Amino acid sequence: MPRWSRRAAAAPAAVLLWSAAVLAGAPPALAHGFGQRYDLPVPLWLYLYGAAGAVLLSFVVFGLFVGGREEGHGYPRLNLLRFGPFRATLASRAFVCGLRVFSAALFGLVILAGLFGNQTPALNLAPTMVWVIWWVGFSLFVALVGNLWALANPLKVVFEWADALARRLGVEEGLEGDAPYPASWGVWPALALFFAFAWVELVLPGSATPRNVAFLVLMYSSVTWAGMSLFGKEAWLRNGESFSVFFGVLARFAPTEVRVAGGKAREGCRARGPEVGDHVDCYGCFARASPGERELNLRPPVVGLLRPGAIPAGGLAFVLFMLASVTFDGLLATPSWVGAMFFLQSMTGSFGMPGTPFYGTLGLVIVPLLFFGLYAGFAGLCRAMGGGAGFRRLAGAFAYSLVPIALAYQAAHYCTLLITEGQNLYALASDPFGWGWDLLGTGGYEVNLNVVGAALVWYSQVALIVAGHVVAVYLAHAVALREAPSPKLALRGQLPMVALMVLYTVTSLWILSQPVVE
Amino acid sequence: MVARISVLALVPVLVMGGLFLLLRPDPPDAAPAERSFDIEIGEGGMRPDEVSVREGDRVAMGVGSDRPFELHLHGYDLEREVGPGGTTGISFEADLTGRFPMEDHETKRELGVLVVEPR
Repeated sequence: MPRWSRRAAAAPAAVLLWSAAVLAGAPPALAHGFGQRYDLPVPLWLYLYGAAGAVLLSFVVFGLFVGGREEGHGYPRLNLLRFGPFRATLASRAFVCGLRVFSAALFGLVILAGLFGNQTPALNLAPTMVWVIWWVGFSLFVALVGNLWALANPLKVVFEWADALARRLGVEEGLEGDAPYPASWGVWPALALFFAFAWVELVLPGSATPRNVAFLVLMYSSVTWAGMSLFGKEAWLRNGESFSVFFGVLARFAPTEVRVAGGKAREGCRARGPEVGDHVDCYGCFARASPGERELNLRPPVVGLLRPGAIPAGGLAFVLFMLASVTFDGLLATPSWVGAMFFLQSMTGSFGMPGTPFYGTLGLVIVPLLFFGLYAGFAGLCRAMGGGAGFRRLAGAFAYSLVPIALAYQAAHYCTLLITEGQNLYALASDPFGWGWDLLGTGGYEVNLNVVGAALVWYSQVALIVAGHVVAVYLAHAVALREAPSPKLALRGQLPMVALMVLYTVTSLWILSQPVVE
Repeated sequence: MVARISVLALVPVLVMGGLFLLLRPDPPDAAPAERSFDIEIGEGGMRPDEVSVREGDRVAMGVGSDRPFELHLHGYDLEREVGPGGTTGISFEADLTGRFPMEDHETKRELGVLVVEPR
């Protein structure tokens, strides 16, 4: 490791300690009026209807594809950069630079607003921007459009600027570290940080207080910058930056991909594994390729989830934790969960009242473990019935096929929040600090809760969940065909996975049919 | 092949459509009505702890409490002082569907909910 990068890693560490110290001393604040959900539970009949539909349509998907053969790993691609107007906009320096400057500026504004602005969550840009626009809205954008995070990640942009500045100031080796990243670590650091993030989101009281949001962003950024200055930017983005890993999984659903002409990895690409098919969505290779070789392809949606590829150490656990935490988010606010926690409290004595961090933490550990256990059991059954690939390989391949169910649930769960709380952005654009400014003349805007009626919300939620389920069953079928020795065994081998999917889908529907208690 | 696919596509459409019509409850034909509720707030919270109406109803609540505080109805964003010795009237038109907590504005303690079902 160069001498400088060790010193460079010390600066983020100092920011981290300072933020942690301030956060620990901050009084807990109530997130009043922020993120509050007034959704009516889906009525019982509609819940049953959705569940019946999921089961029925699973059989239809079977029927449609029975006897099908594996179609290879190819799929149609359309390189958008072949067309002048797209090349002139998407691939232009002005567009890319503009996006990066915008992203970094927004990042800075969120931190400043959080630190120095009005501390009422709804009146400050930071909580709305982080929890509603970015966490909910941007996630859906990545899944439905493409991985904009890989391009606009402000942590990466700021690090690159700092690196360039250091070089100009005479630090020859820059800020990027070159310590070899231990392969056995895989994406475990990203999973550990993602767990911490989920804990902050779902358990930590006061996570919507602007100052806390700013400090948490600073803490996460310093960990990221420290990682980059130890192991190098790309190694950390691929293994330790949880949102790059998270959005990378979601982007597999999206109808766009990046690829280097020919579909081959560049010389020296460390993300290259024993892949079958093309080397796509490798941002390191894409960045190093000459402009003429870069492709931004349209592809059929969802096919990215079928891409076999090498799954790094911890990759399966990361995907399963994503799936479980999405469900836990909803489960936490159901009367049954609250009831179970009251029961637990009466059995065990004093761990504080339900709703205190102890019970949330317990749930965030137990629910994913339960999910891991269930998944391992069903994947084992798939292998027992279908044979073929080894357990690890099979478990890894099927895990991605569950992503559409989680995504559909996430969208159904948060659609009303995005529509109502998202409106806050309109007023906040004029007054990011909550100081009563009116820069754009929109400062006085008040949220309209009556945009979509409850009946429309119910029908969309159930339709989304059932559609996500159908896509998942189709993916499981395609995975089984690929992994099993014969189509006949493939048909048998996917049955347990489809049963697990029905269970997962019905759980999602059930949560939506429960009143929200918070 | 085409025949099989069209049958397989048609059957679920028919079954799902039929199931939808079968399961869906009849829409209530009652016109929006005046609904009044007597609510008592004490140590254990609000009684009744859930007030349920339909969209468009005209709601009138008479709220009594054993201690003085400011009651906040979310969503409709109504705030009223309630307290012992008399009831406080809260009336509004239920034009917003949803499940809205009613809470003590000071302590943020949730006392009960107003449920407005779509018509």
